[in-house]
Amino acid sequence: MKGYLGEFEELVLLTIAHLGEEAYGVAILENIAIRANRTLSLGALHSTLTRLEEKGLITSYLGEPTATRGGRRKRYFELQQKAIISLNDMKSLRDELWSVSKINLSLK
Amino acid sequence: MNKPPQLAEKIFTALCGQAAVEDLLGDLEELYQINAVEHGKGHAKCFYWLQMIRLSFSYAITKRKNQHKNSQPQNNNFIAMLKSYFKISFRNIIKQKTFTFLSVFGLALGMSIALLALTMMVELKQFDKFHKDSSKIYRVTTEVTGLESTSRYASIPSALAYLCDDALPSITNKVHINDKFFPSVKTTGDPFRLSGYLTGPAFLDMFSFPLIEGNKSALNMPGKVIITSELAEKLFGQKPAMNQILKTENWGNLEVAGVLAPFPKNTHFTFDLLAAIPSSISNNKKWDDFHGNFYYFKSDKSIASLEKEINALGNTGASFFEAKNTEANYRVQSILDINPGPDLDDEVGFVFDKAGLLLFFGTALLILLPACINYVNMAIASALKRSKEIGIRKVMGGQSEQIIHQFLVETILICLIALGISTIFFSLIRDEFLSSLVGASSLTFALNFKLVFIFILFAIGTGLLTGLVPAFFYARTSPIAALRNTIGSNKVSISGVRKGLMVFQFVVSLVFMIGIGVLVRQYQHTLTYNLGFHKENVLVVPIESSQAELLRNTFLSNAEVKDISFSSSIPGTPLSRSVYFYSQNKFDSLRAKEVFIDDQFIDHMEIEMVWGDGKILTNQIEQVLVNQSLMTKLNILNPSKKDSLLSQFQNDQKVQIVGVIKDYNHEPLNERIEPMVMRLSDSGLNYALLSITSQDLPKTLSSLESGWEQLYPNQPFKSTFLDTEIESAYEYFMIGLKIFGFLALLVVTISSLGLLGMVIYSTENRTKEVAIRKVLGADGFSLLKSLASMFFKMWVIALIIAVPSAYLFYDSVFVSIFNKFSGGVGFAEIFVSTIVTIGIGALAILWQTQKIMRTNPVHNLRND
Repeated sequence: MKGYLGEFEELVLLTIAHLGEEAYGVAILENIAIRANRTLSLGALHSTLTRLEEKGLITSYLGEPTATRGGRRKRYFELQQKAIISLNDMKSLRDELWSVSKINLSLK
Repeated sequence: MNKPPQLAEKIFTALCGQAAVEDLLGDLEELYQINAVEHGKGHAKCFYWLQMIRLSFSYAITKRKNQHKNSQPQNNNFIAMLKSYFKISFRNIIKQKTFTFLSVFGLALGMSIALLALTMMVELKQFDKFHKDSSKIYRVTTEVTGLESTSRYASIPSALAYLCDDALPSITNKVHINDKFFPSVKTTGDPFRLSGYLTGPAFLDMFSFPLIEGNKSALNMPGKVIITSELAEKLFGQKPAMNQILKTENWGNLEVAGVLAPFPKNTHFTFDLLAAIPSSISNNKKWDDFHGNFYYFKSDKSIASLEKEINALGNTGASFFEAKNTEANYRVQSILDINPGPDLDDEVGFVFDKAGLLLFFGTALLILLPACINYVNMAIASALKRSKEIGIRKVMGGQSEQIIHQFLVETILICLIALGISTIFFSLIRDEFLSSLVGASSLTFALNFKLVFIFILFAIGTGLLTGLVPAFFYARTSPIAALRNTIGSNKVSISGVRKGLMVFQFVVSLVFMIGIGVLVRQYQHTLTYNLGFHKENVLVVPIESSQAELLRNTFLSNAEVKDISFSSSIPGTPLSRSVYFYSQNKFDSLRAKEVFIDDQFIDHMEIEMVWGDGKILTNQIEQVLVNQSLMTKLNILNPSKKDSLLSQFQNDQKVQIVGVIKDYNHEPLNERIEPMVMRLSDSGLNYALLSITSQDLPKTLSSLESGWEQLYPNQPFKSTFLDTEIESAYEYFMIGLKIFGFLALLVVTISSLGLLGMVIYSTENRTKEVAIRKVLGADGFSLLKSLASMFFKMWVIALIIAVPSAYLFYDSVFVSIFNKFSGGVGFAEIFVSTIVTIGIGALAILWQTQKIMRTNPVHNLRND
């Protein structure tokens, strides 16, 4: 399957999409921690971000320095068109699989 | 406001090096602040450390580090930098003419021997490749393991070979070779000894030795031989060789039934002629005696599986080896691995073994190493001249890798120039080297493209390895030190390591020079040694023994010929014939060298007798003369015998000893005096020995020749003097002298060049000092002392090391093995060699110091 995305990669991409212009390291980390109830290290997150950047799914740019960061700049992440296509592919695949399921998947 | 742990932050920055991690540090700190508020400071600190460590080893950091490394600007235009390296190298080479000359010349000399070794290696790798399907041809070798030692033979039991023929379906062509085929063709003088193989037509099928005449089926017929084109030319000249008869002493008449075309010499086979295996050998299938039996075959299978099959067959004969407390294993060897290969006993032809080759390579390295050391020494010594260049490069942003590249390119360039000059040396010494090498007839040493390519690779390799030391030396220097001209704290002196290297070179050259002295002395000693017979003014004429009586009268009729005698070999040259004496019960035997003489020989050659008058009479029981060492051994052999003079001889013959000769060196001096017996004979005389007293030598010779020509118009008259014959028996000395002399010349020249280079740099750096000393009134001697004392000190250290070790080496190893008779190494030759070597070195030192001492101090101090 073209443009295969890992589960965690998908999660990171969607979080970036959710954060919009405020998507930087700590923000993504916190968001995932709250929403997915999952603690992860900064190293793991940045490794994934680097790999996503390598695949051309996201780009990054340096923002303005802030005091809470010891006067250091933030690195913001942005989704690329390729990432949106990949996310859509994933979603439609999921939808399709849900709709053709022969077992009743509803929780009710 | 709270600060995150500073140590963790520092460690993190240090780990990341120059990678851009500003945002990551920011993230870490932000998390720290949030944690500090939520969970307290201690927890936040712990958390920070943990996060830092996990981040340090994450992929994100690795990636950013790589990105940083690859973003360096110089990597984008390597070609341009290479161009610049070459340009600067050229300029430096041209600027420093003396330095370039000394190092190029030294390297060229040093490389020349290495080139010889390389060429030899390359040629040996080509050996036996010209045979069709050579990679599929194998031979079987035997490994006999005894209680104490293991010996490896190239031959195998003949029984096994014939067993393999029938029992192994996986092998296709099979060739049996027996090399016990040494026919001697009768001619004048010593018989012409040939060496050949007994084999079958399959030999010519498997190996690519094409026939120009005749048919390979001749190898099925007894009494017929196939000869090489070289032998055909040697024996018959331009005349057709086919169907000629070779009259041999031990193999009867052999008819030439085929001539091989000239074939490439790079094969491990060495033979003059081929013949069929006589049925007496092929029917005699034995397990225990396998000397001279070789077995070659072709197969597609792997060596391992072939070995397994053959060893299984070999078990049939295991009992024969067990009887002798040994065990035999068989190995399969590809013919491509024979040369250069392991040193096997009973080898089929001449093989250059790996150990010998390694020794040769070692010598080549020993010569090349000083040249490389000199280059390194001089390159570092010239630091003063180069330091500004290095400083500016560094200030302008040059990385240390670039400095390293610069010096490597420069060294490689110098090595390539040296290679060019070395190739000239190579072609000069090539022929001389080949003529002195045993088995060299199979080597050509011709230059070809492959070889040139290997030479260039070798030069580049040498350059790389040599250039590393100066390259790292310069790359390490700080730009400030370089610009202030303070590379190396005390620039005038030479560092300890480099002093050590210089001393090492002095030692090597001293050892070589002393070696020459020893050789020259031993050679002189050998020639003037009293051999125990008369050798002056004796003319040696090779004859056929049937001519002896007739020639005696013809030669004696010449007034200048004082005396004449005949013998089977020239006294003072090696003896090849030997006979056996037996004890009475015939269980024990004793080998003795055999010489045939006529009744005049003892008197004529002035050989001293211990007992008896040296006269031999033709009696019913053959009368013989023996030398002292044979007599002693015979007494041990038959201790209880009543008549010790009556001895059992071979073929149930008895001989009577009528005289005992005082031991004398009938063979060359390096052979021990062995038991020898002299027999009277009419048929074994190969040489006439004529004592002549002549005022006009050419006239005497021509009158002797005309006397010969009247008798034997078809045979050429050949004559030499006995002392020249004896001298030529010591030719190995001359060869040794030549090789050693050349190597010594190389080593001494290279180390002198190195010395010169060091002297030049150490004096040039001291021009100002010398000028000031002069102005203050120093005289020539004290200047010389201050300039050259360091070098003389190094010489003294070298002397202390070299002289005792050279003495021990030559006296205990060389002389005691090869020249036992001589009195060992004397003081004189060591002294002379040492003086000469030091003299050469002193000349180099004096030449340079003189130059700097004579300059006017004003020139050196004007600008200060």
